[in-house]
Amino acid sequence: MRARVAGDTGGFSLRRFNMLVLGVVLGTALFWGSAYAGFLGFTSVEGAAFSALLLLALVVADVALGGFLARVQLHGRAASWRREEKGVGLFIGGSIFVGALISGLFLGAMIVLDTPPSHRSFFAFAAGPGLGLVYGMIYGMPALVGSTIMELRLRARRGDS
Amino acid sequence: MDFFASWDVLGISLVLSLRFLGPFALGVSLIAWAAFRPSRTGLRLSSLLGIALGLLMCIAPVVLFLVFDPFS
Repeated sequence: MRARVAGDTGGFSLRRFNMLVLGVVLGTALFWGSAYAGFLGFTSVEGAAFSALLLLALVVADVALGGFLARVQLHGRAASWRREEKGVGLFIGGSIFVGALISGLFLGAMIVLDTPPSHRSFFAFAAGPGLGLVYGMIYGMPALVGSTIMELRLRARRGDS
Repeated sequence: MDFFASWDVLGISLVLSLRFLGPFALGVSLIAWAAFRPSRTGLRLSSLLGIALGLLMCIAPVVLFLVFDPFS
């Protein structure tokens, strides 16, 4: 019994931590991917159309990956663990939010370091963190929806409440 | 131009991406929720309305961009 409790606790937190790292990496990749897609939109009307398509694909991939991460985390869980794993969608959406926020803070630091001290305005300081917050919300929401749908479907299949 | 050396340009491109990305995120989320949420009754009128609204959210920024073409 003692070994089972210890195993449950360790396994649960490790999986949770892995999921957090995966979500943060995914949020970072989505942030820089949309920076690249926006960069393409500068070139021409065709570039802007391609950029819009790329952004749509990123959002669809975000929903699908959110669902996939929830499935990976909830798949094969024992009955005693399921009660602890409510809110998986919120956790995955939150970790993607954190990834985008970290990227925004990094971008903000680079913008400030790239600006001469005499030209550093409020916008130079606020741009990066603001973009990180906005992108965190924008990419967190579809992932939250995808993972919550997967969580609810798995629970409905198992007959949980 | 070096992509990762022009940080302010990256910031501007991120801001400009928001005009597409925001409506896309909301629209795709609406479509996914309306179409794939677990329901005993299957696709109902409310689900179809959600899908239609999501499609509208996705199409609207593209149409508006084409109407107010910044390159012309």
